Amino acid sequence: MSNCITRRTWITGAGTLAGSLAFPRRMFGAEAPAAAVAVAGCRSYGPELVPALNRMFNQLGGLGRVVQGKTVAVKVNFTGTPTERLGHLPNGLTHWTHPSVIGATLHLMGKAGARRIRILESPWKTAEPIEEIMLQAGWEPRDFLNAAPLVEFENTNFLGSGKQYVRLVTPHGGHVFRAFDLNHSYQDCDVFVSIAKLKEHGDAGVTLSMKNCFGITPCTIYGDGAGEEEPGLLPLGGRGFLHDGSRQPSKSAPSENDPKSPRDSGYRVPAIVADLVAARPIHLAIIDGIRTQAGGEGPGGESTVPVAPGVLIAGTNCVCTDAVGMAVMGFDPLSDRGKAPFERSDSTLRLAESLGVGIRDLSRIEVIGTPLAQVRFDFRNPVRAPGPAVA
Amino acid sequence: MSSEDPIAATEYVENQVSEVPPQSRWVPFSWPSAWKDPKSLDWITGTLINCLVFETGLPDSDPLLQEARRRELAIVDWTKPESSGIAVGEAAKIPWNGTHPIAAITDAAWPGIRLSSARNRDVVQAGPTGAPWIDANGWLVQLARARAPEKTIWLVSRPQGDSRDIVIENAYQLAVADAAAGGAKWLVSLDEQLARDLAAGNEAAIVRWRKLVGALSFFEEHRTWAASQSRAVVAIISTFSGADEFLATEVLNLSARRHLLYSVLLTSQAASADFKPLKAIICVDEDAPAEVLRRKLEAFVRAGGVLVAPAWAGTLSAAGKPINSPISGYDVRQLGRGRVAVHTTRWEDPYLVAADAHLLISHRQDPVILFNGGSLLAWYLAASGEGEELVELVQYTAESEDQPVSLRLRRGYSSVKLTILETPSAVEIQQVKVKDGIELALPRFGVFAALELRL
Repeated sequence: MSNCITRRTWITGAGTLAGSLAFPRRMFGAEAPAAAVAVAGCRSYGPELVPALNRMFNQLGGLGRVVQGKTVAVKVNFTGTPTERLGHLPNGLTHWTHPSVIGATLHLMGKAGARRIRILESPWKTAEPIEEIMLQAGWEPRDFLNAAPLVEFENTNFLGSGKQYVRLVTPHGGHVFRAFDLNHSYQDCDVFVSIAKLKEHGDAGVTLSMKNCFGITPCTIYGDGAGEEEPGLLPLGGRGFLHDGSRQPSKSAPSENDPKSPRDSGYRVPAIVADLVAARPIHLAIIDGIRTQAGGEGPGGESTVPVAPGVLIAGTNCVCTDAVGMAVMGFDPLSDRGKAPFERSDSTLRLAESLGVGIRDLSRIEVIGTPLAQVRFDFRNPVRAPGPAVA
Repeated sequence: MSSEDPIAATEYVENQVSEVPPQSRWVPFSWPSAWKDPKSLDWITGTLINCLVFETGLPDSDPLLQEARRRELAIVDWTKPESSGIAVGEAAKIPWNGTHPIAAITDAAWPGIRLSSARNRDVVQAGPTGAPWIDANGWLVQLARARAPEKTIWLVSRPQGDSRDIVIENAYQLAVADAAAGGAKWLVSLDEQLARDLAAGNEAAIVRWRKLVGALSFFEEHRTWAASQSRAVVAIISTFSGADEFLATEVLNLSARRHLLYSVLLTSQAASADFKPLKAIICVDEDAPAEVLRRKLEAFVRAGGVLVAPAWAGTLSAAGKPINSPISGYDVRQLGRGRVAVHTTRWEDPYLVAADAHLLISHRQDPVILFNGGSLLAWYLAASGEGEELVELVQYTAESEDQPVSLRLRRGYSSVKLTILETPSAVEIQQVKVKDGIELALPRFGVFAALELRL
C-alpha cells in the first residue's frame, strides 16, 4: 500500500520507481502464500443464505477476526449498466452480485463488530451515486443501509468524496502498471472485501474475486474519455483502453511500464487485474455462485445462459479463492493460455501468483466445507437454470 | 405504374371515403413527384391515406389532380398550405396562437438510431451516456401539444434517398409510430427509390409499402391512445423560446432518452397548472418566473415536491436547511417537506441538466423502469377510459433488442394487455410481483408495443 502523493512528488520520485522495472517478470511465485477456502452448497438466496455464509466465515476463523472495529470496504460487481439484463432475469441472478449476498454479508459484518462498512463500485461510464444505480436495477438501497449499523456507498469511478486520488503501488513493479491512482476509498479502509460473481470473461477467462477489482480503476483516469493531463471531472467512456492499450492514463497517473508491450486484451486484462490485486490486497474474497450465467461476463451473446450452480465460495486469499472457484466451474486452476478457460488469455491467477499474491495449486489449498465434487458445475456444458423468467 | 394490381396485392382496412374528410382526420401523404399517372392513386385505395400533399402544386387541369378530387381526397398545395388550414414551419417559428387547425413541423428528425457514417453503417453512434444516439420526435410532439393542444400536429421528416435513413427495414413503420405515439401524424413521405420501385411493382417495395400503410391503420384503430394525457410525475417548465429555447428543448430531448418521463409546461401556463400529480419540477430558464409562479413553486416544495432550478431559486430556498447534494454543483435545501436544488452556476450542457435533474429527483420517482430498453423510448399515459393507464414503447433499432424487454411498474393492476404493431390483437401479460410493484416480461417486438393497464 502506498500513501497519497501529489503529482509533484510522483514526478520527483519517478526515477527511483523506474528502477523497479528491471525486476524479472516472475518474481515471488515460490513464496506466494496459501490460505484455506470455504465452500458451501446453497441452492437459493432465501433463508439458507445467512447461515451458509456465517458457517463459511466461521470455518475461515471468524469474521470478527477480520472486521471487528474496522472500516470495511466492500467492492461489489455491477457489470455493465443497471438496466441490462440476460433475458428477463434480474441482474443479481445472472451477472451482478446478488443483493441478498451483499446484504447478508453486511449483516454478518455488523454482527461481527465492523465499525463502518462502505459499499464501493465504479459503475460503467457514470458518476451516479451507487444508490441510484441500485434503484435503476430495481434494488432498494435502504435494505443495505439497514443491514448493519453504519453503511455507506461510494461511486469510485471518479474522485467522489475524496479530495485527491490515492496512489497504490504494485509490489515488485507490476506487469503493466507499477502503481495506480484510485479513489480514496481503496486506501481509507482497514479491510478490503471483494464480493464477486462466479462467471466467465471474454478477455480474462474467468471473472472471480480478482477480476472484480478491474472495476476499482476510475474512468476519469483509466477511461476512454479520461483527461489527457489531469483526471477528468466525470467518467466519460468505459475502460476500453485498459483492454486494448490504445492510449495511456491521464498523465497525472503512472503510465504503463512498457507502452510497447502487447496490446492484446488477453494479455493486458489479466495482467492489470493481477497488478491491481497486488496493489490493493483483498482481505476477504467472496464469490456468489448460487445463480449466475455461463458463457460470458455480461448479458450479451448468444451462448450466454442463466445457470444455478448453487454454491458460495469464500477465502482470505484471493488467488486461492479464485483457484477453488475455477475448480468449481470445471476448470483446472493451473491451466494457462491456450487451455480452457484461457483459450484467448493469460491466467490472472498465474500472474497474481508471480507477484506473490497467493497460490493457485489446489493440492496446496485447504478446502473447507462442502467437498468440491458435490458443487462442481461444468460451465462449458451448462445446464440452463430452471425457474421463472422474472424473479 | 405496374400492370400488377396494387389493390389486389394488399389487404388494408377498408375506408371508403364518401366525402372529403375533416382536417383533424386527414392522413396526409406527400405525393411522389414521379407519380404523375392518375392510376397511381390506386396505391392509396383501401388505405387510410385521404389527404394528398403536392410539393409544387398542380394546375387544376392536371388529370392526377382531377382524379384525386373525383375520389374525394383532400388536396394540399404545399406552396400555400395556409389555404388548407396548415401552418408550416420550424417548431420555433410556427404561429402557435394562430387559427390554423394543423401545425406541420418541418424540423422534425427522421427517427432512428443514428449511424456514424454512411460508409460504416454497422457502427452506431453513441450519445453522452454511451447508449445509442436516438433521433426521435416525442419531445417535439409533447412541446407542440403543450403549445397548442387543440391543433393537429403533423411531423414533416423525409427520408433522404440512399442515405443511412432508410437502411432500416422498418423505417417507415417507425416514422409512423414515432409520431403517433405522441399523438401526432407523420406526413407520409417516400424516398425516391421506393416510389420508383413501387411504380415498377417491385415485391420488396410492396412489402415496405404494406408495412407503412398497415402502421397507419394500426394507429387509426387505436386513435383513442393519441388523446391520452401524460402520467409523468415530473414537469419541465420553460418558455421554450428565445434565449432559453436551445437548452430547454434539448433538456426535453435528452430527458426522454434517459427515460425520465415528464410533462411539458410552458411558463405562461404553469401558474394555472395543476401541480398535484407532480413530485418534481425542473425549471430550466435562467430568468426567474413571475412572482405568482414563484409562490406556487414554493408552495409545491413546502408540500413535499422537489424543485430543480437555476440560481434564481436561491431566493426561494434561502429559508431552507442545507442538506448534502448527491452531485456537485448544486445547493440543495430542505424546505418544508420538500427540497430545492439550486444550480450554483449557469447551466450550459443540456445533457448534464437532464442527468443532474434525474438524480436530484431520484430514480425512486421513476414510474416505469425499462430493462433492455436502451434503444426504446417510452410514454406513460392516462388513457381515456376511467382507471386505465397506457405505456407505449417505440423501438428505434432495425431489429428488436438483443435481449427482450422487461418493465417494472410501481403498482399492480387488475389486468395488463399487450398490443404490438406486428400482431395487433391484445394479449394478457402476466404480472410478477416484486418489492414495491410488478414486473412485466415482454415478448420480442419490432417497432411499437402498447401496454393497457387497468387499475
